[in-house]
Amino acid sequence: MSRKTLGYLLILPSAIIIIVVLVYPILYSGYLSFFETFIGPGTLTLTPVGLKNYVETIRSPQWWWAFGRTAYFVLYDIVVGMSLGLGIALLLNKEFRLRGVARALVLFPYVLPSIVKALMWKWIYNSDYGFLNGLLFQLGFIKDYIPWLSNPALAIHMVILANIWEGTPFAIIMYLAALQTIPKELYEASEVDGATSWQMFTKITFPLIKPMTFILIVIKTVATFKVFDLVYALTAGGPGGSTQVVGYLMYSTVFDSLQFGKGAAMSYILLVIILVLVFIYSRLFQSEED
Amino acid sequence: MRNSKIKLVIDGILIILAMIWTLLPLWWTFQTSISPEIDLTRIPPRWLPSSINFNYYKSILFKKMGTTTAFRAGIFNSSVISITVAFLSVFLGSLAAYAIVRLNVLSGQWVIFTLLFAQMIPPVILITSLYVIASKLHLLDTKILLILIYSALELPMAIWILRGYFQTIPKEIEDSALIDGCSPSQVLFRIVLPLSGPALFTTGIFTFISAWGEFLMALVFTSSLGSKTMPVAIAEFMGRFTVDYGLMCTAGMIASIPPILIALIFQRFIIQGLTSGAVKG
Repeated sequence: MSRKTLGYLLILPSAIIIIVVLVYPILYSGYLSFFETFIGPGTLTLTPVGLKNYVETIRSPQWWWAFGRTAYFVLYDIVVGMSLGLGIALLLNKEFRLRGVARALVLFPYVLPSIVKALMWKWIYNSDYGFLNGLLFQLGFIKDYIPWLSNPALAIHMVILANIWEGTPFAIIMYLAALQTIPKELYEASEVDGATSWQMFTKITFPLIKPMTFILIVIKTVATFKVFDLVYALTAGGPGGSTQVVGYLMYSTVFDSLQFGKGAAMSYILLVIILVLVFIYSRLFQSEED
Repeated sequence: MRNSKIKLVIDGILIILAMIWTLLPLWWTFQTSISPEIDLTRIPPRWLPSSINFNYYKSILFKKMGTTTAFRAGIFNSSVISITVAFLSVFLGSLAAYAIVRLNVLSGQWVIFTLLFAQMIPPVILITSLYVIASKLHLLDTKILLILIYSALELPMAIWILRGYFQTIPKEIEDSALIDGCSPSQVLFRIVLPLSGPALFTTGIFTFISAWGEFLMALVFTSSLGSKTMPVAIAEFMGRFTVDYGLMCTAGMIASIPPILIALIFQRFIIQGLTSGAVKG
């Protein structure tokens, strides 16, 4: 058997699984997006409708509302979440006892099952017996208990807070990896030249971790546009649609209203938007580099 | 001198604050799970349990009740699914990675492309058509379906991590084995894989953790006790009108034991796995 044949043989099982479960369904969804679907018991009836699903989605205020909500999530995740991640990474990059333990502990929000993270926050936000109301009341910050998840203006920020908590470890780990590649000599030399720590940060650290910042912005954008688990468990898109993110809207389009074709069209539109965003990011980043 | 001491103190305080922020939800859940029921409906809440008891753990592990039975079934199904997915991804992933690195089929570009694409597609794209396909194949509500879906989602990452590691194994070792009359498949199984312990392990725990926690696919594709996973069982707990927070937190703690142990014991591997994609790419 030639090396080439063996190679194809070895790659075959993975290729089959990926083609059957990822590639084919993506194409089939593309096909479905041009149909109106009717799901009966054990049957699927398709009526061709051309571009209707796409046109309706693009014209629907509901879709753009959900898109705006999601973009708001992404913005917070990038600005607040990544700054927090960088801050904690800078701390954990210093030499101190128990540093190894601290680095293992910050992984916790990353490794826990997402539904468990959701239940933790649901209990913390519980309006009667939850931690947050209890703490703020005892510290004297609030006089009355606040219904965190049933007030539209508050609910979205509470979900965003939980989402930031969940996403910080990833930013910490990535920034730590980037910080460790910076040669110590750079700091020593600038210290000799009398640089303050703020100058060291802006002139050495920040420029050198810029590539990682770019990678993180891309990963965070892609990941946060998919946010679903937290919203499903904490608010189910409510109250009053205030936490209706695209992930949840697509899910309920498919499984509550059983509009498979519409859901497929929505996810294609979202995919295109994400691809465009990533393209814009990479352009911005390249022009920065030049 | 005094200035640097103040700096140290500030750093210490900030590190402690960061740890509190990270661990607080977990601690609050844990202390709820060991509190007596009466503590949980106090206003304002007790910050420490009035007495420690494990009644919730007893109920969730032994009591015959709709939710607790579903939770135990969920833990069992999740274990079967996640362990199978971990082994499958490591095994199939190393075959594919070896073919890409040494046997010159497909370029690394393909792996990156598949990896990025798998991250970018909104899961609903997959779900609609997988639902139709699975119902035609009578695979809906089976563990096998989830195993296949998770393997497909994890394989690009697995191949990526393993490919990166295989590239660091000196080619001379393999070449001399080939000259001594080993076939390429013997080289893979007798030389490359035994040398790749850490990478196989990283891939394994990585795929295990994501399969253990995956929610959306499991929610859509499983419903009976024979296939429902732990996250789905916990979500059902939370969906009830009267949520038993004590029981729910206990379920959460039990479900968190495997990933927490992994994070504590194998943090090095998790960090390597996470950063291997971004730093090298």
